[in-house]
Amino acid sequence: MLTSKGISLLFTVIILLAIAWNTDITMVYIFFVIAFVMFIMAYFHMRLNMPDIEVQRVTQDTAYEDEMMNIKMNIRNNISRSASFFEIVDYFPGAEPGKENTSLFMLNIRAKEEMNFNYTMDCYKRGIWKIGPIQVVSQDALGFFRMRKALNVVSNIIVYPALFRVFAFPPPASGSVSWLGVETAKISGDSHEFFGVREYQRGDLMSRIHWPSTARHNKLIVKQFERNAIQEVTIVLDLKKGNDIGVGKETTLEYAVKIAGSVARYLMDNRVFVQLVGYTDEARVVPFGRGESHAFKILEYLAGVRSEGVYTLSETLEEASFITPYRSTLVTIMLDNDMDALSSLVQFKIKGIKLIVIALAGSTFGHVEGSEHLDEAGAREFDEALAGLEAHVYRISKGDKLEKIFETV
Amino acid sequence: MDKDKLYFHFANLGLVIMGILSIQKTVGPVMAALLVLGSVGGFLFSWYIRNSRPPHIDTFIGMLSLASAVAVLSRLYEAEISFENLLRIFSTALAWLCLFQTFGLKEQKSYSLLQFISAALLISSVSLALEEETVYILYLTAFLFTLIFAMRLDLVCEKQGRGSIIIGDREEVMGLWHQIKVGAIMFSIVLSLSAIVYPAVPRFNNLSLDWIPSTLLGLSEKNPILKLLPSADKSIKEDKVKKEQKVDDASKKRETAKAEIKTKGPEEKKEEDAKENKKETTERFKASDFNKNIDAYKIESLTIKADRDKLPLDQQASITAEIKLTDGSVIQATKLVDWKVTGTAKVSLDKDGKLSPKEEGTVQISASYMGAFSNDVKIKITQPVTPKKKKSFLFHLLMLFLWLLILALLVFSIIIFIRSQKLAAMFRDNPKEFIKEVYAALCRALKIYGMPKFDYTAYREFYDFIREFISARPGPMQALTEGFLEARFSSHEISVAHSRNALESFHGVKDVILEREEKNKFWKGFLFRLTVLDVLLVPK
Repeated sequence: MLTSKGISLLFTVIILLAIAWNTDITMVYIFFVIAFVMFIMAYFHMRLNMPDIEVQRVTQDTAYEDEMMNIKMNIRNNISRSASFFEIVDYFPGAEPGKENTSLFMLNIRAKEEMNFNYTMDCYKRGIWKIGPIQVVSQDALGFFRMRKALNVVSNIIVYPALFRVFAFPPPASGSVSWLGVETAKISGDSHEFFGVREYQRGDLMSRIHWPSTARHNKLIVKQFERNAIQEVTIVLDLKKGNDIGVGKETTLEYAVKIAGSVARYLMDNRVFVQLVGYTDEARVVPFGRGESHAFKILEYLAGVRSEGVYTLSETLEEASFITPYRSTLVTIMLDNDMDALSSLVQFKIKGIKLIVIALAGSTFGHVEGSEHLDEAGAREFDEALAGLEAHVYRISKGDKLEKIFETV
Repeated sequence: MDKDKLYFHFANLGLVIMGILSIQKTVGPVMAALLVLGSVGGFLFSWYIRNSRPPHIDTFIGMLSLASAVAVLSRLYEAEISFENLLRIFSTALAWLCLFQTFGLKEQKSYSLLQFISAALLISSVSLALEEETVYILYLTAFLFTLIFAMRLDLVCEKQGRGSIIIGDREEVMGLWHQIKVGAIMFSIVLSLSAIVYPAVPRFNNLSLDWIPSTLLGLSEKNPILKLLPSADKSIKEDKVKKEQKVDDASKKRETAKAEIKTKGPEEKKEEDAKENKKETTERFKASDFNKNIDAYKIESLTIKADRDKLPLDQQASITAEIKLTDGSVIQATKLVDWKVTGTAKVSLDKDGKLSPKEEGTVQISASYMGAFSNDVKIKITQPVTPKKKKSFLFHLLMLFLWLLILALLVFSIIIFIRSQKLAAMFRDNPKEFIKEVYAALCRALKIYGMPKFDYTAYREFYDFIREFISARPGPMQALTEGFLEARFSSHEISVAHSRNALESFHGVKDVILEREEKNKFWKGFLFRLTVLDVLLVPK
């Protein structure tokens, strides 16, 4: 309650009294009295200055990482006297470490006055956060005493991960034939949507011959139709506790989240159905879908993921194999030392699932107890296994420019 | 730097100056003037480098501070630990701190130390100069008011420094007059309440706490700091002695009282022994006359009086004795009584009761007449008082000149500061006017080198005129002239970039001029710098 200034004043009061008693000098008594009165007055002023305010905070529901969040605050003084020089401290756990508290220093608020003002906070890290509670810090006019009061004003906000632009990504598998598809794939097939014409090849049905073109070109020309199919991509994340290497925003999980979100958005923009799979203590799956609402579902999922799971990536892949359709694509974001996960990917290959592996170089992110980096022989074995899977591989290290990596296939 | 910080900065300078002024009796007017100059200089220096930290400044400041600490400590080794010396040390420390305020000017963290030292100086000097209470009450009130003002600003500046967002009408709440008004209200409340509380403050006398050993109150009587006060004769111990003396006088049990006084604690005994290093002697002076009409049985009391209690060696004191009879009549008995003089000084007493001292010390005089004993009178024999040497007219003239110099320096600093602030604002908001002002300032300064620009001289003509003078590097002057012509005559918008170019060119011209080798270089350079100081203070 006493600030450092207050403690100094208290000491001064005591010392002055001691000198005054020892010397009986009138002026020292006067000094003592003034210092003492200031001390007492400061205390009562602090008590009186504690405002009875009503605070309302209006903020957006969602924001992206690294964006500024605009907050509107409304303050109403409920008492019939003014209050001055008090502080409102708003708490946002998603801000940069050390800057979680935003201090608003109120110069003055009159009796029954209502004030509106705006301020901003930096959304440093993705997550589902609660802003608040608010602390009101009252002090006297000279800063000798300080008192805190908490106001339970809480707002919820989802901070989506910051995404980067993916310019190119390996095309997903042609898709499973299904009449459930709401759209046709832009590849030749057997639907009723006309796709084009081409020269006759052995085995083509006679019924597909387009006679007017054949007559015009003087050779056999057949009609082609679009195939009814949907392209499906399953993205699998490693959420095992302890597999998140690094500190702050430079961790493997943060990279994985950023990549998963950006790739998912790119694929959905290209009319691909995307599902997201990650296991913590239970399955956390965003089933196949696309469109804007599905994109936000995925972003919300990614905003909240933490590496708190008990399942390894290998186990997650085992579970994911049940929900990954044939002739679809599997994107796995994994550490570059996870041999078990690599073994689990074999079954997908057997099922005819196209594999895309995004391997994060764990050694560049730092060291975590319990996780061992592969030695040279191990790394070679990992590479060989990866090559055996005939997967499309991205290798990513800490500090890499992700946008550049996903510039070309 | 915004207005709040500016007010705060100068309020603290005010506190420091008040602290130094309060000790000018102790350190002497010359030293006080130097300290004030040093403090003002320190503040100006720190102001000058507030936004930029010249290379190696920290090392330089650190070394100077270390040197000052060594100098102060080495002097302490031989110096007598007296209050005056402590004040000197405090004031020197204050001037050093002000001189190197750069430590905290940006963050405003070290002001509290300055405030503390200023207050300590004020309080201790008041303790030393009780006879001039009125002056010190004025110092105290001014100090208190400025302190309240500074502390209010400190709160806002501290919050700003920590990145708080300031909400509210700053113009209204933090305006200078509003600040002064609020400060004055708080100041009057503090003083009024103090006046009410003051009579109720427990004192040793009115609470009769003198029987409590001061050690119980946490005050060691041996505490040298407390004994340093020259007014130590007002201490608890002295108070006790006086009271005991009063009791003795009332009961006339002289001998008993003396015994009681002597049965004080061993510490006091030692102290008294030290005081009475000289051997105590007793002299008796017989009566010069006898009055046979006085009946010894009718004597009610015998009282002696001295016309002074301190007697310089070159003067005389007059001692009189009166006998009060039971019928109420009083008889002058100066010539009738036998005198007894006990003490550490030699004195002579004539038949008319004139006491002539022969050496320094203390004497206790008593009288007796036919079995009646008088009260004791204590007289302290002191060194002859020599008239204070009157200071010469030249000294007062010098002092006046010094103070005028300080005043002029202060006014000059304030004017330069305000001008530089205006220029800095122009730099951003009105580049056209800024460039014109910079050019005009340079033209003014060039007069020092005997190159005035007359009204009828065209701008490019003037450049040709001074070209030889700045032949080492005429480029910046040419750029400044062209920049000025553009700002003066062109109708297109002049941006901050133009201001920046003009300022850079100005600094370039300044460097060329100051690098020249010529007679009276130092004085001309000094005057040149002074003339363009306002422009030099504009941050690049």
